[in-house]
Amino acid sequence: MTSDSDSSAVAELVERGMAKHGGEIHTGYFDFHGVLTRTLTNSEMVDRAVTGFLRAFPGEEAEKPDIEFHLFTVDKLDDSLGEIPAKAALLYDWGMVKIYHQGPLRYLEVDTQARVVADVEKRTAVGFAEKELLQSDWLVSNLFFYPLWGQLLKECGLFPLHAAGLVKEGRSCLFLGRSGSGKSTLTLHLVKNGYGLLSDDTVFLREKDGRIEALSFPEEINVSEQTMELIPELSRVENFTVNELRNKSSFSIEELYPGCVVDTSEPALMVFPQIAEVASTTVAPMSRTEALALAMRYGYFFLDPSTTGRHFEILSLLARQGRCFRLNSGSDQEELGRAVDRLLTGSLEEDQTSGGRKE
Amino acid sequence: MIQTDNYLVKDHEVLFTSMGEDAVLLHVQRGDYYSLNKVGARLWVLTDGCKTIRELAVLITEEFDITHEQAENDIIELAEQLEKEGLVKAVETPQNDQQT
Repeated sequence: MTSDSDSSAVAELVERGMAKHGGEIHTGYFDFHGVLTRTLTNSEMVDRAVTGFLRAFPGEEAEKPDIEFHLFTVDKLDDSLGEIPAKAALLYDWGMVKIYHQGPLRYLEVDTQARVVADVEKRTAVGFAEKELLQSDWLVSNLFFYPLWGQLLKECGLFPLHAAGLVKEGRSCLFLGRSGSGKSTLTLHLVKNGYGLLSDDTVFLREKDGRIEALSFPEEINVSEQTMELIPELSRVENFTVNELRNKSSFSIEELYPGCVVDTSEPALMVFPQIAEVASTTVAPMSRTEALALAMRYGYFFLDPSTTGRHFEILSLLARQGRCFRLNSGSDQEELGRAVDRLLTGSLEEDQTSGGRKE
Repeated sequence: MIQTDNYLVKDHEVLFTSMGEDAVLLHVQRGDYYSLNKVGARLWVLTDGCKTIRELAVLITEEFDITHEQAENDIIELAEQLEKEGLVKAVETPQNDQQT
């Protein structure tokens, strides 16, 4: 990928990074649903964190990957390492983390301690972060690597959606919601009841022959203390990682339910859960228009000049493909699983009686 | 004030998707979205920068159970909302570079 990009900003920064901070370079290859990423880093810790983050997607070494991502750790970040041009326009502002764009370049800035520059046309990126910032694997993977890698994946036709994905008989139910909406609790209930898992937090969407497929992204599952109390089986987990920053603990679901991860599935339901302070769980149908409007909020970095149009099409197809519901989760935890079961079973039966899939 | 002999021109930054009878418009730069009912959705499809509101009202009247006067009033009301949102502009001369 870099052979024809000698004149690009990313290539120049990679050269600068190699000259100043090179040393021993750790290289990783990851085959993420057919998109091959090569990572190169001067840090053993970054290499370990990214490899752990993408442990489900090992890839074969290749001359020309689809995405190339350099990650350098430095003692002190200076302006020569990916300074954001004055003309770059602000795209997202989450306080400490900001994203800018100018032409094909995207700039991620984490306070004054890290910068990542990605070229969406060449599908290359380079990041520099002060060692002091990268205190945990989670920070490396979710702050330093994932945001602009996710954007490059969109350029390759894979669109991230903030949703848990559960599978039954080859069809999936996507639960769309922000952190705290009950996605992880639902995930654990359903996997316990025999559902396959795409992810408890982020699935990727891809169009194939006019239909939308949901693709797995089985990160470690983050659970709050409250969830731990609700799901007794979690006491069997031996390897918890405590994330003090997020006040949650994470674990690999395969430790509890080996073989539960499913690679891909066709979504039949979009469900928007919210935790309701009531005893009984209720489900209400939602219009596709409203579901699409909400889904746009949960598409990562939906507003990007290069991919918003395609992202909008993908989410529109998704909203048209299945049925959409709002789920108000009550305190009757066992009913949650049954409610989803009924929705998905209803969807399957509907398909069988109509002799085809919806719309 | 939008007049019946004005032409409606869509903003190039607006995307349209049909959701059954309804539709959703998205302003790509701002991220704002706007939902349309079935008459609004049909109006959006018919709007090409070359038809006046009066002509659009004739087409809408042919497809929906609505009087010409009511159609003109509804189109003007919707066009004013869409113009306020920056999704269309009402102009006095036709524009022929619009996509439907």
